[in-house]
Amino acid sequence: MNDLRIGTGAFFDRGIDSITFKAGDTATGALSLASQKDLPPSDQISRPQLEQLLAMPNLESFLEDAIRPELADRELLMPGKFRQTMESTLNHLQQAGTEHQGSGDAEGAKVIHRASRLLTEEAGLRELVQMYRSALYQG
Amino acid sequence: MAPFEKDFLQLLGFVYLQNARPDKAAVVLAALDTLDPGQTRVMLALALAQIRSNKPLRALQTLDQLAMAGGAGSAFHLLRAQALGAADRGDEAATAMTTYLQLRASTPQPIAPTIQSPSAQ
Repeated sequence: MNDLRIGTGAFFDRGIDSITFKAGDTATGALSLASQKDLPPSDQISRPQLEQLLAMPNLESFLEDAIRPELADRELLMPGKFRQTMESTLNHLQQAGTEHQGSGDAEGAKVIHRASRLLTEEAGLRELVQMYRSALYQG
Repeated sequence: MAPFEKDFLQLLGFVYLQNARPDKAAVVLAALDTLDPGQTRVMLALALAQIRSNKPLRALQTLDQLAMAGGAGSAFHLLRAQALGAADRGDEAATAMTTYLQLRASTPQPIAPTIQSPSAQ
């Protein structure tokens, strides 16, 4: 019969050896629990194992690695934070566009205004999705 | 603009590129490049978006700026070869591709991921 083990170390040999109660902000004893928070999602997409096994690295994957953004805060990938950041970025883009226009950089202002129009359109599309979704929930 | 907002624009550009919207990616990344010029990853992504949205001459301009900013690595030469190829400048494209291959040969490549069988663990 196969030797089936879950986890590593002596956890299943020892079993549960202590229970910690946490009341309010004071943790009893030397053990303290980590503060509750949502874990940020991984910035790597989990690929199916078969694809991982068969796909060979090619020029596309090389370029993808070269341009993949290095995020300082992975919470940006969570829907709520993403939406908030989109709103604040849109405000700052509009401000920056006006500043560039004021300083006589017409080309730069045009590029920034184009991006702020695109973000407005993107925000509109997301609202539309939200509306359709709530219409579906209502039935 | 705060660093996390720059990260957001770069992420949005990357997501557009991954989902076959290179024209939208080019708009977002060009704005980011105007606000925070000289970032190698942003300029590489912008050049790729311009190549994929059939604007090879603009991609070459972006790559020239990147070379002046000192970001001429192997990805730079590969993108330059693609842009020159799309602009029907075959000889120059071949030279850029040769440079890319030489650079690639001189740098260690990541090993392809392998899956271990459960019995081997």
